Amino acid sequence: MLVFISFWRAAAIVLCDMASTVYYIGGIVEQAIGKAAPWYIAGVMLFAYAVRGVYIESCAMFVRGGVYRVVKEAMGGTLAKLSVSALMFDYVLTGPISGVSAGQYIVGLANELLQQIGAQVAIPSAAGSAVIAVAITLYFWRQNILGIEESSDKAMKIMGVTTVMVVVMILWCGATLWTRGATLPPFALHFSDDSLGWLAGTSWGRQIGAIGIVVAFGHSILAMSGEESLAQVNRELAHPKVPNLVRAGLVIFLFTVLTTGLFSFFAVMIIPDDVRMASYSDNLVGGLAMYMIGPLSVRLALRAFVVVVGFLILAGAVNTAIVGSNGVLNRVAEDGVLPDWFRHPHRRYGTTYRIIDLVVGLQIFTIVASGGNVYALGEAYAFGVVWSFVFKSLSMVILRFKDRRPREWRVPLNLRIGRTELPLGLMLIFAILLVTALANLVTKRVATEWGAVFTVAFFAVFWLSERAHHHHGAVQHLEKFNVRYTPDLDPRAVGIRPGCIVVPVRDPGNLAHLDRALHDAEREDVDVVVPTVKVERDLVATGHNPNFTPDEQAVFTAVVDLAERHGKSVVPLVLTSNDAFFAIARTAQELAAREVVFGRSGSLAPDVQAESFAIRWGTVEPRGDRDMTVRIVSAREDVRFTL
Amino acid sequence: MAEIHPTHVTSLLSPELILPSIAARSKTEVLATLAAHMGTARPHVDGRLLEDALHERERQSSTALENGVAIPHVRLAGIPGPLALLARSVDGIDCNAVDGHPTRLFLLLIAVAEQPGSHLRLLASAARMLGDASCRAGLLAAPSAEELLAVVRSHELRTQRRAA
Repeated sequence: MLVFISFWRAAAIVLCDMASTVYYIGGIVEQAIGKAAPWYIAGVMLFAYAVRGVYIESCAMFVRGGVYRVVKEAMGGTLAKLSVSALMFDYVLTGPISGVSAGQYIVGLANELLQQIGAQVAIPSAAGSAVIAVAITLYFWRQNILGIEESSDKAMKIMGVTTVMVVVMILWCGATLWTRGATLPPFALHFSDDSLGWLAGTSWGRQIGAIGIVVAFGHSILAMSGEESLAQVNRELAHPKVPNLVRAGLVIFLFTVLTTGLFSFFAVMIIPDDVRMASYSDNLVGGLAMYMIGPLSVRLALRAFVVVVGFLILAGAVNTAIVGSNGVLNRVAEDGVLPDWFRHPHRRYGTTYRIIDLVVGLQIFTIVASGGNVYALGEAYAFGVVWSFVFKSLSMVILRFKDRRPREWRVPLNLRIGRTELPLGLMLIFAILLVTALANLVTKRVATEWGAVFTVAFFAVFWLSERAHHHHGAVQHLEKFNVRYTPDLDPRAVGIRPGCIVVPVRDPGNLAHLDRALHDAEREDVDVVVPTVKVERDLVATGHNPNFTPDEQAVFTAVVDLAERHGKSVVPLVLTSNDAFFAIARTAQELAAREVVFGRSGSLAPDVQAESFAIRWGTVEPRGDRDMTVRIVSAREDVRFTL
Repeated sequence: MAEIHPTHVTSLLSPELILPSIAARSKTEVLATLAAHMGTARPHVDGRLLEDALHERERQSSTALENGVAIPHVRLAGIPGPLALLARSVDGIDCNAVDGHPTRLFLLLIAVAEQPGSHLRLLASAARMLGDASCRAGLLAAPSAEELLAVVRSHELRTQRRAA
């Protein structure tokens, strides 16, 4: 069954990535630009809402509205491959930085407890963190092999407990500041030599205020990593797609401002300057718990709670990174940019396990190579984030001129001059991202060097793979399906409730009736069953033809595309019979369907289609007292009959 | 006696609309026989027009089902209500049925063209009746038109009771 998720689940998956940055962003940015870090992090969190608009508009245009699709539509395949290579660098690093950060929190707490009981030993934080990160990655590797539905359940639970922690921390920090008094962080920037990269020998960054602000903003930009996950989960999002995406975006915005934004301020305002970076740069929220008001035992308990939640949400970010990478690589594989071999579904779970294996392999390599250093990972991380945003926002600006079809949602601030409309909002977002990306290019040496190497390597793989594909002829996108054979159709086994709608399909180019049925089904909670009939002309159909033919694969690929566009679950079935109408009538009877929607046939008149079904319905329905509606639908007409 | 629902076949049949033994040897001859008899029994029906309509319908898809039954059906304009005619071939006729068996029972149904869809229940009801093995056996064994009608009536009453 093809299933879709609510906006809460979608938001939870994205938040597991975006909100988890609260656990390491403060430490990384303060090490780079000093105590003014919270102002810039807050600025990035607010700006993230604008970038989210770019994603919502792209997803309103394309169900699979991620970077690859959008850049390809706007600027062609080469730049699309380049941008998705940069994005993969982001995704591959999201897992390791989150896993290692989770490890840092656990090791930090363990060492604190060891110190409290007077033990003379301490766990090496970098190595310990790396081991924990590998363990988390392997756990979510397994979860993703099992499937996204399971992983979105996990994301919901993680965000539930995280919300409890956020509320407790906000109230406790508020009480602490109320008791001790509050001083806001300074605006003045204090760059470390590392943070100025190739500008370190010059006085530009330090002396020219505007450049300094851009450089500081660039160091904070990784706070909004995870936006691309929004485009990746859009494919799984239930009807109504765009309003649900807007809702998910708002939930994400509010949550990240209250966590990543607010916690960065609390950390600077509550943890003393002399210990903040010295002892807690890699576990700032844990340090925050230790410097609140209250007895030590209670603060230790709070820290333990913070660490548990941190472990969960950071582990959730590892999951989101795998989900997102899987989505992106699937998309490029569909286009023949990655060998089709990668998309082969798992025999039992139907997931693209080879892509998941590849991503997880790269993540584990990165964890080991980093040696558990969060700052180094954070420095490198921003490269992919910002450059994929630059390509994406530029593409959306271009598409406003190139593709003028109406959008269900658009980034605001559009100025109409005569017949031309200037997308000022989009252009402004692009300009900010481009300037930030260029600043990062010269100031974040680790990011630029490693990001460039990784991006070029991924680009080369994509390019070579695409060329190899072209040698084998034109690429036709076909979904991969796991086919399960069953002699009987048990509604419970396939999860279909009585009162379902049966929509037979045969021709991928003639699905207007399915489009109409899915549109109607959006307004009600009804299962949609989509059978195609494999007609065996033998005297008696054996039902044992095991071949899932390319024709059936093509028709169900078109069905999946339509279902995704509507965000409505469908149950695809292949039936074997010597009579198509009989097979459909029997299926409708066994599933206790209330309606059968046929596409208009090219060879039979609508009334003949309805008559043929009526006769078969009478044959299979012994009581004759069940209501059944038959519809014959084409792009222009919808004829209804009642049996 | 229980009342028969107006969309059931019994309400449309009478002994003069039942042919216990037709001599036709091919599908074409069967359709011609059915059309001609309907034209005779119900003079407001143009037998030639009906025969053409039946052939045209068969051209789109065969109305022969499995288990030796066929439900030829058409919609005609200008008739006051639906009509039915039941015919039986003792030897059976090759009508290109899905299961390859010769067809022995023919139930002709004529619907009102001005009321599209109104005959679908009737078609389903006819298929339900002829799909019932005991009913088919009764129809094949009945010695006369009256007995054939009694079998149809008995089956439809049973079905109606079950549904109630």
